[in-house]
Amino acid sequence: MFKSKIRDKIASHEMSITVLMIIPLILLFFFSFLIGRYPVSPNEVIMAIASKLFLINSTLSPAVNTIIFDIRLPRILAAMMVGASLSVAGASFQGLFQNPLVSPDKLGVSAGAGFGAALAILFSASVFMIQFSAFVWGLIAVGLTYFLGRAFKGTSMLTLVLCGIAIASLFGALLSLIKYVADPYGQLQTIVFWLMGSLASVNNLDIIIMGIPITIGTIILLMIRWRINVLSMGEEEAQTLGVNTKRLQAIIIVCCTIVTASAVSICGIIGWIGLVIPHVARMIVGPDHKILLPASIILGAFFLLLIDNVARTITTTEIPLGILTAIIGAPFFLYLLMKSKEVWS
Amino acid sequence: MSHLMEMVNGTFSYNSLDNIFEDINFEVEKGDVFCILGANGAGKTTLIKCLNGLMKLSSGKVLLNGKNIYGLNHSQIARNIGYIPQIHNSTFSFTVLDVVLMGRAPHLDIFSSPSKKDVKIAENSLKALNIYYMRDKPYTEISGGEQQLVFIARILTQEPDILLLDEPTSHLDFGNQIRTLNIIEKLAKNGLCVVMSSHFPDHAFISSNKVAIMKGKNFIDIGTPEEVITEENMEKAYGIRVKIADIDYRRACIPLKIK
Repeated sequence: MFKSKIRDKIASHEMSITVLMIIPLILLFFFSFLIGRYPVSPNEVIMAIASKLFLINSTLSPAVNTIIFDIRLPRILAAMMVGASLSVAGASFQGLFQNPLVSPDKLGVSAGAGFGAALAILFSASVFMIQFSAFVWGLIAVGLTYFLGRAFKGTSMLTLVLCGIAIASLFGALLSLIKYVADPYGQLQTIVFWLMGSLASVNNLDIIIMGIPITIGTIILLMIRWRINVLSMGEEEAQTLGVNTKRLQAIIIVCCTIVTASAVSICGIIGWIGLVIPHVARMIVGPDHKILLPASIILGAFFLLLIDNVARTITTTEIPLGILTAIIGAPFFLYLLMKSKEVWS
Repeated sequence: MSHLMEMVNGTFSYNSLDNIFEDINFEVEKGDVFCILGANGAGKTTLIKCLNGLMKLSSGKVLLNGKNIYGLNHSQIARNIGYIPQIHNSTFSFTVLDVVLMGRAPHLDIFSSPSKKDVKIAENSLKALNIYYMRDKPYTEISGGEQQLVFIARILTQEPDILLLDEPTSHLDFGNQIRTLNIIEKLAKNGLCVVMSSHFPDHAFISSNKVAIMKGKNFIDIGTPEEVITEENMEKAYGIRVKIADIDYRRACIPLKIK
């Protein structure tokens, strides 16, 4: 009842659902600063942020400042950024491929990034090089998929997905090869842990470097979001509605790939979010990408921030994010499926 | 004077060996309802798709107000020619209004969303077809006949001069078929030009002023329904015998039993 009432309000444009959804996110953002081994009080958080924003000299101890700005802030921002990126890319890809079962790694970006990271770890590269290698190989994998799809006269999106599956399994095999030859007491552990995803080692520089491509890609996706509606009616129909489908598809693929590759390179492979958050968003706001994309961004940011808070507090050693997203996400999603009548038929 | 739309020596083949159709010529004007008849696989759908550039003729041209359509971009074509496909596969349960609004796409640039003015145009199309009340319903949860009306509303929102309808009546019940034909006729009276394919010669009598029969790569006949839909032509096109009869105030085409 309540939900359908909200729907009516949205349909009649009386209320912006995105504004409504952003409130819990802001609350969680502030709350997340309080979580951790070193106790920080709410007042200190507000003071610290206010002093940065309004350039007032802070009276807080340097230790508290360091914890807030160099340890917790980058991690909170990274969780929100990664969650938002994977979700917006997932929602866009589901529209592009007209298939609600598609996740942002469908064209091989995660497989490529995983291989790239493992390769860099094998050569004992620096953390920055590992991220860079993951990012670049993610792009290479999707590039290969895209040009193969085109080379096979593949005008259909199905050809592209099939090429993506082939490329992903190819990079999966190469990754296994690297694991096989890697030193089992050092490199192999690092590779395995990287693949499970973690935000433990994120710093402010990562946020800035990866934030730029993520922001640009997300803004472009948001700008074209209404056209994704038209494209999701089918390529042929979109074309007869005046959409340059080839160009629009290419823009979506490039933006989603850059956004996903950036996210994956910071934190490793985190599955599930890109597939499920768009579904949850669709259950709340409906399928119109004009509202769905902003809603996915907010929900994705909220969800991963929540998960990461759990990951860093529940036990003394951190639980990898990829494990938690599935353990918490799967039952939650099943619950929603049960509650909601809008099951995909 | 150039025609509204014209096909000149249209030839199409998928593999450059075997033509689906060849040397087809016709023209349509404002207010025309042009009905293309033909057996399954005669190439009606392909021909219609060539008219708005979804497929490209192997040789020959399609002229829109005297201009070759292959020189126009997607949105230029879409502003002049609307299209309703034979089959629509739905994935997401958009509201009826959202679907109809998509008709504004050719009038908007890539970074814009529909404005209040566009919503108004879409709502007017819904009102014109008396389906305004289903504005906020998911279009996946309405009947096939209602869905067809939604797509007609979308094509009206597109504000084209020409409507291409690929078998607009084929998935509809007996009553909705005739209601759809009635709408098509009204649209043509308001100055639109309709090109449609059909499996029902009888429907051409009801709504069309121009008919062509496609058979063996070409039109075997083209002209007014009365000239074209004859007992001989029907036997040639479909291999069955029919009876053409005047009933009440109209002519009808009635299939006979195969002996």
